[in-house]
Amino acid sequence: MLHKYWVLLKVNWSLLLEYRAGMIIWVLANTLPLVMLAVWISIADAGPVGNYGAAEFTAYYLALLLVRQMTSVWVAWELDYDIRLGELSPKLLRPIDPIHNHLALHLADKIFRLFTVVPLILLAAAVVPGVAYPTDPVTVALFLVSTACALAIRFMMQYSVGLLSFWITQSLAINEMLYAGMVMFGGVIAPLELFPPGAARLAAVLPFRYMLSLPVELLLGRLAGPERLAALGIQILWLGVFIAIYRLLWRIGLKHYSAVGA
Amino acid sequence: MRYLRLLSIFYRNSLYTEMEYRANFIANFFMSAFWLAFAILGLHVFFYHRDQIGAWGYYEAMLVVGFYSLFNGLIEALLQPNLSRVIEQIRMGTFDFVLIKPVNSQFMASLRHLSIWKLADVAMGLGICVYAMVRLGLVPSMGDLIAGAGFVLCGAVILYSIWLMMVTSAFWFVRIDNISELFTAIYETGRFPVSVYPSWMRGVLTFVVPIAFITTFPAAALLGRAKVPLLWVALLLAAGLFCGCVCFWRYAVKRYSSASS
Repeated sequence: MLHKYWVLLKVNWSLLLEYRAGMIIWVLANTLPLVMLAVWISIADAGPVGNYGAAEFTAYYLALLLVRQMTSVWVAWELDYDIRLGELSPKLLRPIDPIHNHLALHLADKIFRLFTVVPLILLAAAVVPGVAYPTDPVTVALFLVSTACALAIRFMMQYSVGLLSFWITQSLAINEMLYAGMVMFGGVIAPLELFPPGAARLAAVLPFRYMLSLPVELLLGRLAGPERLAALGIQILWLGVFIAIYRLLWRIGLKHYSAVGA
Repeated sequence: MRYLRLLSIFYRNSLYTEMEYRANFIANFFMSAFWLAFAILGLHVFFYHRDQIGAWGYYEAMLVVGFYSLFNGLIEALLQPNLSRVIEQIRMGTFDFVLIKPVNSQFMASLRHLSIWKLADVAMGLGICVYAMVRLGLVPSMGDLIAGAGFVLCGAVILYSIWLMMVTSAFWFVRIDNISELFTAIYETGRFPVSVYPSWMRGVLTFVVPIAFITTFPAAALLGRAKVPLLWVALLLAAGLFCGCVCFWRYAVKRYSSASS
């Protein structure tokens, strides 16, 4: 299996480099966190908001930008395309489940970003005065685990939504709604701590926090010891839920699938 | 006159096509509602901590959200579908068919299609504006209304011109499908009044990429806060950008030499 992944990764890596101009635009277009950062800094000008001053907001949004880069997923579009146009059929003939190829492409993309955007963000974090992250191994380890989980949740969720294309033509609209949910409750418009209490409680239950905000909260050391484990627990729970949904949809979807022109 | 008749034929045609995909209407409706909810939740969080942001109150800022949504609807209904088609046509060489029609090529290329269902955003934007005005107890004077309408019109022309220039650049960089993503990223800033941004960004958003003229100033006009000279600036800017995009388009079309030739 590992060997297969190695091959898939190499193939997808070359695929990725073909389209690097498009990639760079996609990366640049990912600016909403920076827009929100500008707004919050200008609001914090008149005094800190909650326990966030300008430096805390900068640290928060730079970390958010990093997590967002490392967890970006677009598999719903690919699945929608494959299923609607019948491109899925040849892929089913291969001796390996198509999900592995999709996953490999996303991992290759993450490696690409690790060497291109991530250093830029780290550089910004190092240059901006007042921005500092805890460096103790536990925090960093929790951050890495949680970021990986966030990527996995987003991938499984989008894969499940993409599979809905077996039945409906609007799966991408559902995907966009979930994306809007993530922007709202994933900590993009504001750190979730700053939400009014009711909205904050809602955000703690919905899956969106665990797709983006949680790794950032962990990295900034905003959660106390036991809280951290509880949050990670919920994150893993959501991952389990989406894996289960994916398995179910894949099983009944394949039976339902009859390709275009078949 | 002839062009107006053509427009009505184009859009009737688009309407018939889209009638086939009625489920799209529901999907778009929900999507606009979601994005609107997002913008309003954002306002909620700001105003949970502050009474005012950038000298704008809650419902005043909501007016800006309304205009943001309105223009976003126009982008998605009118500009986006035509843009992607023109880029496709340039790539495939079928753009020749646009050029041989006995109509102004810019008109044909930029206004041919309309995604009716995306107009849901426009309706919701107007709704939010009206709601905010009711909550403010705001009855704009005749002058403010005319100024507001003037700013909306200028905003529409400015938006159109910027988009057309992006489309035109496709004549040189054929594979630029996601150039619109870049603009959308900048347009995001229009969700909030321009005065909430740091001063250097305010300058950029007013004079370099004039998003402020599109979402902030119409709202300011309704609130009676936009001075008359500002309207002249908007008119000049709109006229200048429009002439600019027309010239750029003509220059590009003159240089265009189809695909595979």
